[in-house]
Amino acid sequence: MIDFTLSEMQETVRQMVHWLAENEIRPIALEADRTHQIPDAFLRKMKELGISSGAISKRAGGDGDGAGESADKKGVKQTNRVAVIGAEEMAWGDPAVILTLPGPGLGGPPVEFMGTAEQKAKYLGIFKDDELRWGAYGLTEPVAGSDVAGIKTTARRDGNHYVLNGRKCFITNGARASWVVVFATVDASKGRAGHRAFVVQKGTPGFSVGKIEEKMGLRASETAELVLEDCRVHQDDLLGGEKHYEGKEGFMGAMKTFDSTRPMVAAMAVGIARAAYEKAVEFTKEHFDLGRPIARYHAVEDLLARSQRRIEASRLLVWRAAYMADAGMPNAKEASMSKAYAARTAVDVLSDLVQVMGAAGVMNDHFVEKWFRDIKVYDIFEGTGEVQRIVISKRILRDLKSF
Amino acid sequence: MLSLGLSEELTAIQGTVREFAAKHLRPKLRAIEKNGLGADTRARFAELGLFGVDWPEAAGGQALGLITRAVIEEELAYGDVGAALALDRGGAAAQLLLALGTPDAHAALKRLLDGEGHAALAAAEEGKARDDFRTVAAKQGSGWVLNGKKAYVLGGATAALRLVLAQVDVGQGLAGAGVFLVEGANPGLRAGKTHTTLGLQAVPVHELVIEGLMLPLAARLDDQVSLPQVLRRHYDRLSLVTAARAVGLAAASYEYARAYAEERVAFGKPIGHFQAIAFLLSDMAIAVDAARLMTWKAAWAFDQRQPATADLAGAQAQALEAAFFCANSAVQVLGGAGFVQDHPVEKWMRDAKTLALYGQHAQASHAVLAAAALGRPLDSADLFPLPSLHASLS
Ligand SMILES: Cc1cc2nc3c(=O)[nH]c(=O)nc-3n(C[C@H](O)[C@H](O)[C@H](O)COP(=O)(O)OP(=O)(O)OC[C@H]3O[C@@H](n4cnc5c(N)ncnc54)[C@H](O)[C@@H]3O)c2cc1C
Repeated sequence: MIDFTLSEMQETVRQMVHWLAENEIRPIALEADRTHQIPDAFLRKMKELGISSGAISKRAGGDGDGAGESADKKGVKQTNRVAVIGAEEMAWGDPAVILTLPGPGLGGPPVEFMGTAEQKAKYLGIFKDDELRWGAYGLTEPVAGSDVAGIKTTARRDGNHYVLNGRKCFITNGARASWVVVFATVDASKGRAGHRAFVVQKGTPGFSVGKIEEKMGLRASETAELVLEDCRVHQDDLLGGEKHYEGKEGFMGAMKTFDSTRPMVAAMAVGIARAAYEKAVEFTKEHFDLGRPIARYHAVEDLLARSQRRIEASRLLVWRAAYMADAGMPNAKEASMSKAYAARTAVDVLSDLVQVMGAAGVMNDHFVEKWFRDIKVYDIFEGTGEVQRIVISKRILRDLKSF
Repeated sequence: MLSLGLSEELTAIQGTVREFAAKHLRPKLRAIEKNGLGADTRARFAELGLFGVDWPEAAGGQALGLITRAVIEEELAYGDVGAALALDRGGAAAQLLLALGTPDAHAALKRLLDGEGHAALAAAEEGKARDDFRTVAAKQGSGWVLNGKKAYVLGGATAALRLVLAQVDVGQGLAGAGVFLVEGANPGLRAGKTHTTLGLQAVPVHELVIEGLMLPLAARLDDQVSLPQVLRRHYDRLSLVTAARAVGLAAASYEYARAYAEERVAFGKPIGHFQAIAFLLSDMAIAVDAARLMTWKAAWAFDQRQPATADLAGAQAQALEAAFFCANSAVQVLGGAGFVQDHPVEKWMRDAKTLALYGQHAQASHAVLAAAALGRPLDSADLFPLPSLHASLS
């Protein structure tokens, strides 16, 4: 069936999250960008309302923590659709602030997909109380970003423990996180088969925070370097347990999380682009040149229209990827398509919309200047645009194993 | 609830049309481009019983909605877009009749459905520089007499049914124009020169010379309706059909280039294994899917009777962009082989450019989109975009 109507739950989430984005998130965004800080009071309020990073929790109409399930009365799973619809609205509020909302963040999906029942209870359970807590995802290293298989952080078995050594960089909420999912290798010669994911708790001896990055955009979001020096992690904190890594599963687990997180990140790009588009429409209607609103000049109109339809196309690609995930269809290609297209579109659109707003476009108080700085990284993290195209290429071209 | 898979019924229709297109259109596309569709191909398509599926029952159709039409047109155009255009006996004229929606218009559609001929819309005029049409209709006794000249009429010379747009009230622009129905041959109307076109050559494009064309009073079809509004609805429907064909063309180009890139070897490996080619193919795949989703969404909105003008215009612009991007890229991927006529991609590139000029062209659809976004009324340029460049049937 082709049906573009949002379900009752989807529509409720959309409206509620939009209300929050407009009334709670947007008003603090510029200040948070300037100070690189987010007020605690705001974070507490979000927590109370059940709005967490990367997921809509039960109280907010979803069902559970982290990447929990949500299903309608007939039991039709719609977790991913609800998540992307919520993510678009949140990012519409502000793309940086939302990355700091308390919750498991990008650390949630690997625990969900790979964790044992005990591990899920242990790590996701901590978000149930009233404290402000975060989780994080530590994959990237100074020497391995896109080339995930090339990570150098080592995990050496020692009795009931693993000893971790290495460095992680660009980790969102890495410093404030209660725990971080850290990817390491037990045998570098085995490539991906040697990879293991551990949950490393804050305060573990040998685990420390390095520098906090200064960035072009997303300044309200913390990006940290993490250092592991003879950091001992108990074998119970090996995500999924030993068994999980016997087949090809281990690495695939890490990759599988992308099938649901990439559409989410893409949805955020849609939200930012839409926010900027709305600002530009407003602006060009109210500002005049030679006696007519600049929106009435063909060149400007054309640009607005092109932005609008590409944003819409991005959204539909996101919805499709989420729909497939909910239906249990393999969607790695479609998830990458949504991310590749939505991110590039958003970068293009922001650049165009800053242009139509002229000087106002580069002034800090009009938002688009900030979003222009924020958006670029959406084409970089969660797999660069090139990496998305590698994923797609391998799925459309016969016998293509690597480039 | 948000759901993006085709129903079983639509999947079945899609399969049928895909098979037909693979068997009867793709293998003959050069012959069809040169000589038009053969009677045999037309007959086989007629057997499928798909003509008019989206028309209302009052017009003899099956009321299956634009979504069904979108699926069919995409598959036909996947076979070959020129053939898809030629197979459409209703063309833009049928869309205008549907937009009129009067009992007379429906009756004309029924006759078209029952017959075997095709319809043509004579709207555009060469060098039209003002709002009025130069073709005029004057009341004379108990009828009309029309005089003037129409340009870019697709299938104009041989049509069984023609709609002619002519000025009734001089100086009133579109609001003072009328739609006139001409069925069968008429001594007041003859074909002028045949235009040679860049692409979509399966359907010839003619000039129509109108001299003392006598018509009964009832030949005017827009008496009870507002022509600007009718034309808007006409473009809405037409946009969807164009969008669906553009998606088919884009998909065909993508798939052809993809398959070629797997086989063609350079520097010791298939060219598809070079990133420059593989990434380009990835972007083509994305463009196709994005355009298809936009097209489905617009068709769905129209079928739901939601205000769909902006969606339809957006879908058309997105799909035409995808079509040219994919066809152009396909030629690039094939290299020299793409430029010669042993492969269909050079044709599809010409067709893509041409498709973007028939009906509501790309700039006009952006104007329509922007009007919706800015909350401004559509002006006559949006309703009847650049008439001098406007080809009348697509
Ligand atoms: C604000 C921010 C937050 C982040 N948060 C996290 C986080 O929470 N957790 C985490 O683990 N990581 C995080 N990252 C890291 C992010 O995922 C990486 O930056 C990203 O994967 C790219 O890796 P890289 O920066 O090392 O670039 P590189 O891999 O060095 O790539 C550089 C360039 O080369 C291109 N390239 C690389 N390989 C190929 C290839 N095979 N073919 C073609 N082109 C190629 C890339 O596309 C890119 O354009 C974050 C980054 C930023 C900026």
